[in-house]
Amino acid sequence: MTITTNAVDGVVTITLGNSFDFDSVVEFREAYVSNPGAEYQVDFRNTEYMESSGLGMLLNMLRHTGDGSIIRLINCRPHILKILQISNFQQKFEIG
Amino acid sequence: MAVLIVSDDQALCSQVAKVVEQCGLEALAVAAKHLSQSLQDHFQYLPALVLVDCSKRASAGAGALAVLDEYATRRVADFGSTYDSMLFAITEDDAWLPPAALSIAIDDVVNTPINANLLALKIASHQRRQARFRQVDNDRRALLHHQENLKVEQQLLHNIFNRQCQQLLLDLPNFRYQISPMSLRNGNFLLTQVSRTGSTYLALGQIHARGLPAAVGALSLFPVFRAMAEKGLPVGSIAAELNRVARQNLPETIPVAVTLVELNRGGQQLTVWSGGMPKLILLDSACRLKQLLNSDRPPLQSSDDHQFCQDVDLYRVEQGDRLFLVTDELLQITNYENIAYGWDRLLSLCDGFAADLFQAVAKSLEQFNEGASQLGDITLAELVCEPLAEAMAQPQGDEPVSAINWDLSIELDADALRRTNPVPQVIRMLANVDGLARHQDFLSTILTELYSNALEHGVLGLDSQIKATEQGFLDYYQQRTERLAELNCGWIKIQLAYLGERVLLTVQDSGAGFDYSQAAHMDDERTFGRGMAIVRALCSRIDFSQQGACIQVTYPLNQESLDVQPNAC
Repeated sequence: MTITTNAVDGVVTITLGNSFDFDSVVEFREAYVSNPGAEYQVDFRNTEYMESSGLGMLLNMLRHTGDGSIIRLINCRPHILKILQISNFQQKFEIG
Repeated sequence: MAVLIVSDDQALCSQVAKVVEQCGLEALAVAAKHLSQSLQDHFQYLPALVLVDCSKRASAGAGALAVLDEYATRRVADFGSTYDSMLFAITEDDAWLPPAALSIAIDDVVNTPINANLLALKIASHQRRQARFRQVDNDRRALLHHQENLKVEQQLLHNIFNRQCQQLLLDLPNFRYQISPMSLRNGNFLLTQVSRTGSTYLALGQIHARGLPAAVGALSLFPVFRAMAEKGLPVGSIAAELNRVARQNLPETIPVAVTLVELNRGGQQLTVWSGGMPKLILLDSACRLKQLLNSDRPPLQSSDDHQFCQDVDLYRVEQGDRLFLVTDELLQITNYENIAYGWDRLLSLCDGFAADLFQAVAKSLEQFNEGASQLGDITLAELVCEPLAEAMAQPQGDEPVSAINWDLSIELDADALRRTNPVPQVIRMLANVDGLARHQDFLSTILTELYSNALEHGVLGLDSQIKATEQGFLDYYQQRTERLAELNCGWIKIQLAYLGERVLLTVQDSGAGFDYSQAAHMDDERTFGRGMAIVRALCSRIDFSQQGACIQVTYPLNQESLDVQPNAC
């Protein structure tokens, strides 16, 4: 499953595929670069695996979108939540 | 139709029989000395009319009264209310009847000498009356049949409701509802599910049919919602699939209105797909109206799979906000003056004065309907927006634990490294081991990170520092792909040992090792070097040897720390 992106009412939602790893690095970058906005949601509902490279990709996104924008990580499975917590991502992203 | 004539007078019998036959009926005319015996012999033919000679002579000598008694008893006992027979008494004159006959229900009197025209009139009148009786009796039987069917239907509905509908309504601390078997009969259904991603899903629907068709139609949608919501799929996709299933199972003429709501784990966002249903009412924590959420899509069944619109509406909500859902039935209830309950009455309750909207609706309906409450038929649901209660997160059941210790060793040469990623294969193997299934995700993460570390740094000699910039990040993975494709030397060994309470995982590579003193120290801003920190956090022990070219970790299987605290985020 690949990444899908849609924008509703100014909120850009990027829905990830089954695994979030370096294989999706180009596609993921494309998703936020080609959809500039102030509010993003990265939807993990379909995602079963995430590698540390995925964490790096999220931080790159944060850098790219800048301080004023909000990035929300939503619908994470428990083990992905745990990885995000270990990495202190709750301080940089809204997780819910 | 048979007519029985009971008399000991042969001439009278013949005369009456003649009239009867002229009327087109069958005459059972028996002149017998013992009238009672005659009745007994012929009653089996179920005569629709019995004429008994009750003349003074017959009453005195031939036992006419016994015949009347017998007839009266049989008429009721043998055939009950389903046998409609009439009794005519034949007498010499109007003034005389045997005294005991008065206590027996004689329907008419025929005088001797017989007036053929008058008797024919009486018989014809009796025939007409009997035809009406048969019609009424048939109608009564049909009604009884319908009533029986209805009872069976109601029982079925009750069972469906109890077993299917209510079981799918979870006991969530932030969710309240009112629904009854009667609501299901009216085509209403309400379902909830908590997904593996921790979202709460809710479906409130109304099938525009009644009785069993409505319930059966609804029933075919339940498993679809249940399975898709459990997987955490988007409400738009669920709506599309419900549409497909409804089109398969229900006649086109029956639309299915439905609202699908997903409240995310943190309780800050509502995702809504709603078609054909009333607007959703969003209230603040004090039950004051914040917003009416539109539902302008058509109900399910209105469009085919290709045209179906999966677009959803997103709403950010505050903690404690309440989503209140109703079906059209409430709005369309009419009172004695034929005025509908309507939106204005409902919204007037959302003024912050009613803390409990269910009670407020009940009271308002009662006033509206002057005491005749119809609340039992009304379906209501209220979802309070708050983080998912920990108890509702999907339970990890007690799993059997493998009684034997074992180990597994895999050696991958350059050829194998180029061709395959061993991690998914190893994890698939582990998934079948008793006691490891629930650890599968974390073991997969640990193995992935250790393997990536061995491959990228040990075997391919890539430098993580490149990843510090966004372009470098892309370059790094570009180089990884290129170098791996050209790989012709190097190896990685993976060892996995199951020791009852823990798993030892060792990953060794052919590289020169690395400076592991800084590994596992997380720099929050760095886009690299996080893998080892995750491994360290998930394992109870991490040992480096051979200058870092060999890493062994201990993963405890009895740790509670795996449980995620949703509130921590």
